[in-house]
Amino acid sequence: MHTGKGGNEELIPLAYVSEGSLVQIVKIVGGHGLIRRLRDLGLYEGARVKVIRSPGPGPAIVSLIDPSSGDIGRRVALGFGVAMKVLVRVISHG
Amino acid sequence: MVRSKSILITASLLAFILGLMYIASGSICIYNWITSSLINGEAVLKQFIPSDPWLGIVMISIGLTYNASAYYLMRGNTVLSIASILVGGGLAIIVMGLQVLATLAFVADRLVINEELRLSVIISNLLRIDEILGYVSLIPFLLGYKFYKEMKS
Amino acid sequence: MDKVASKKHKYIVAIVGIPNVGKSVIFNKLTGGKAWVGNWPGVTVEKKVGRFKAEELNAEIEVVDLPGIYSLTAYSVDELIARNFIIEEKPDVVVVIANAANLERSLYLILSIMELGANVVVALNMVDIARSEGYEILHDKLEQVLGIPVVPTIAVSNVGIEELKKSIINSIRRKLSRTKIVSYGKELERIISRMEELLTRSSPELTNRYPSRWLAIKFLEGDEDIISKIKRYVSSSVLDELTKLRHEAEKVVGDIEEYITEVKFRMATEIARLATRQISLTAKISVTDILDAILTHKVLGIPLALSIMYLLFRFAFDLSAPLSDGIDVLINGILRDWVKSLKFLPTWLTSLLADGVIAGVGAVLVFLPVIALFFFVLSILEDIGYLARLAFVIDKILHKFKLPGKSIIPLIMGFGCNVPAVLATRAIEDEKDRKVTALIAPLSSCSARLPVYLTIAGAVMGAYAVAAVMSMYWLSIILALSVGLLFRSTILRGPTTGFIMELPPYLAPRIDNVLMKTWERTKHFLIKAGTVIFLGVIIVWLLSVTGPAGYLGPEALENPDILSKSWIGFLGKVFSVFTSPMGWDWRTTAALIFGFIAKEIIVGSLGVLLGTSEESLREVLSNVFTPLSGFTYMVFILIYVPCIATLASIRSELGLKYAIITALYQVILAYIIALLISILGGIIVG
Repeated sequence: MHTGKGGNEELIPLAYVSEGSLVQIVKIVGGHGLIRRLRDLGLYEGARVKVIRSPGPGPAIVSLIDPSSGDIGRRVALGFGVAMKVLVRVISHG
Repeated sequence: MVRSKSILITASLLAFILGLMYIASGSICIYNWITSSLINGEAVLKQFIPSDPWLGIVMISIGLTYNASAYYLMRGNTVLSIASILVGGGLAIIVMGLQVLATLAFVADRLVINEELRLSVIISNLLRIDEILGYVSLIPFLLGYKFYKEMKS
Repeated sequence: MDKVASKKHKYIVAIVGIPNVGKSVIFNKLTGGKAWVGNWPGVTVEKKVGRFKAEELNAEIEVVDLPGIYSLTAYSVDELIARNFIIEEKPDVVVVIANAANLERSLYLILSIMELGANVVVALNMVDIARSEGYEILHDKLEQVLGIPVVPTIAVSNVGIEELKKSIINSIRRKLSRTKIVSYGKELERIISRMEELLTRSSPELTNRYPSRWLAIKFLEGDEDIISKIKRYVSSSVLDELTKLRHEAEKVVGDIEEYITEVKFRMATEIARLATRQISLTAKISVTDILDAILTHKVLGIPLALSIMYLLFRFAFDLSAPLSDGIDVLINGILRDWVKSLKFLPTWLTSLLADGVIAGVGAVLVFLPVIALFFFVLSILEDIGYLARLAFVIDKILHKFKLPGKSIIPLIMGFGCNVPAVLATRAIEDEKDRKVTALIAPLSSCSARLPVYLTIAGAVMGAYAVAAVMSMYWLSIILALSVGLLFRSTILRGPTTGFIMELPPYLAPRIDNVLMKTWERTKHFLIKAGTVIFLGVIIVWLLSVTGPAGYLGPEALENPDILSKSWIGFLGKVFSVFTSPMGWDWRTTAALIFGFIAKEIIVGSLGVLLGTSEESLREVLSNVFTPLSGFTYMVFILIYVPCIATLASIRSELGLKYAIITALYQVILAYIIALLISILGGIIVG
């Protein structure tokens, strides 16, 4: 099966990640429409992002990362509700 | 690097002082509006400070942004410090420029509808508080810009 | 030489790309700015077609602009349009415009289009921006990896356009097709081959028409649109076999659609990585980071947004004053007087022209400078990238009203003119969000209502005039938000989609882009003036000079006693039955009927109905209105029916049903609130 990166990884919603952290998206809990829209913007399962601004109040801002060359700089803003539906694994804390 | 940092400190200090002045003027703007439109009172410093509540909000915003610069500098966050000066200063200068353009438009308008044009009115428009503070804002803004350029190279 | 015009060939080139990639600029540069604009059949999506000559082929190349899309699924109208055009019309070349500063996403689209079997040429645009952000795209490497031509361009500076044209012409001669560009792993590839085989065997007609590999992949993904296409060509037993193969695939990779998308995205990222070279390390600190740190600041963000809005409004209103007055003097003064002086024309004609057409249309044109300047500044804010931040910052407030952050843009535009505001709601993806925003957009107090406020407030509200006018704007905002919440909780109920928006890097404003956008938005206003208002004014004039008793003559417009016998008078008297609780008589009520056509003409019509000239209007108004009834009148004008042009745009965007809903709810809301204020006010004052 393709889902699940295995192991006892703690998954937390993107909404709870502190600013400056680097995370990897593991699962997106949502309908097709949401998943598709996020994918269109580069947020798919397995992608890495850096949290520029954490939500609450207001949306979060994440920056897309390319694993080899570092910060791509593509920024996407996500509302709190959406950030709750994106489950991630923290790679390094901010 | 040390030379550049002193530019930032100067700019930040200036911004801090200006910031306080902006906040003060902005508050008076709002006070003037309250006294002249809502309750019957006397406006303060009428020649310099209009009774425009929106301008008051804008000036307070600029002031807060300016003050943020010193705040972040003290916390060691150079990026946010310079950013505050550039955004606050930029906004201050744009507000000033807008008023200059508005005065020009006012002159043009009077000419078009053939009404009286008094020099004193023009000058008082150009010497409004947001203008004066705006002219002064050029200093920290240019200093901040210089610092930014050095930081980037 | 031209007489021997041998038969010219015609070739079709489609242009496609992700949003914000400079597609329209390239389209304009290729076609010389001349395009035929229409709609894709059956939908309200704009279709642009242009052409350029290719001497080398003795041909004319027709260029079709496809909508901006991120991918080719069947989930959105734009994507279906683009997809269907490519597989059904089979253009000779598909030019995909890639953003050098955003390569992965563009590559994802490029790969998807290559899988369609299209003959692709890549225009790598905005290479200057990539360079300024510290990296360079190696286009030869891209060409090598993808196997298709890649032309670097900087469209706004005309760089690379000739090379692009040459590349297109070469590709017409030498078609390349690499449908197998993405590999989905051994097992899935095996299944795909079997499906291809099956499809080709059972319906060669089908696989001649569409690429078999793409059909197989789409079937695996469960693409409804393609599956129904396939159903038309193959038997049900074949369908069952295909479905069985799909189950097999599911056992291997799980959710197939997810898997396929991920593989493609990985490949796009990998290719982007291979072709990107960092040239400067300090790209880390970009202008965008610096500005965003403050502009999206948790504390400073909103005050700064308000300040920028202040600048927008002041710029538009203050700087346009001389221009507006200039137009006023020209049209309502000089032109009108001149027409009236033409003694050789019959009086009814001069009246129709001077008092009807010129006065009416003139009243509207006076607003042109305000609206043009308003949209000019707005377009600058949009081009530099600030509007996305505005939506971001305001989202938490709008969210409380169940409205998306993106609504802020149409709502602000509405303060200039409602018509382009309604059209701007297209940018909101979620259908329900879009509908709600379009329904409340007319509640934004457009610039046309301002003169009414100023005139009445100035006449009857005394010292509180300014406060009264300001309160109209506050009321406008409060109502828009409340009604939005109401709709979202009742007839347009549904889950609120979360805020998802890309924040593009800040860019210096590109003047031609800004001017083009300003023109696009202002032209709606001008079209409104030229058509709807022009006709409406003539109708109103007719209704004023004729009555149940017959023709009354143009004197009716100078003499309110005669006017009261006209159709307008009749209608005014009928409706004044309803408006008497608010303290309005048939004349002020009749002015509201004029306002249905366009709110700009209410002041002028009040002058006509009350029998005064503009100068003494104030005095007369203070006799006709009390402060309370005047204020109520202003409120009613704020809320009741949007002008016809706005209703027309709602109809074209959302359909007749919603246009009717808008008209109805606004009238009812306006009436109820006006009544409430009258009653409450009467109690407080009396």
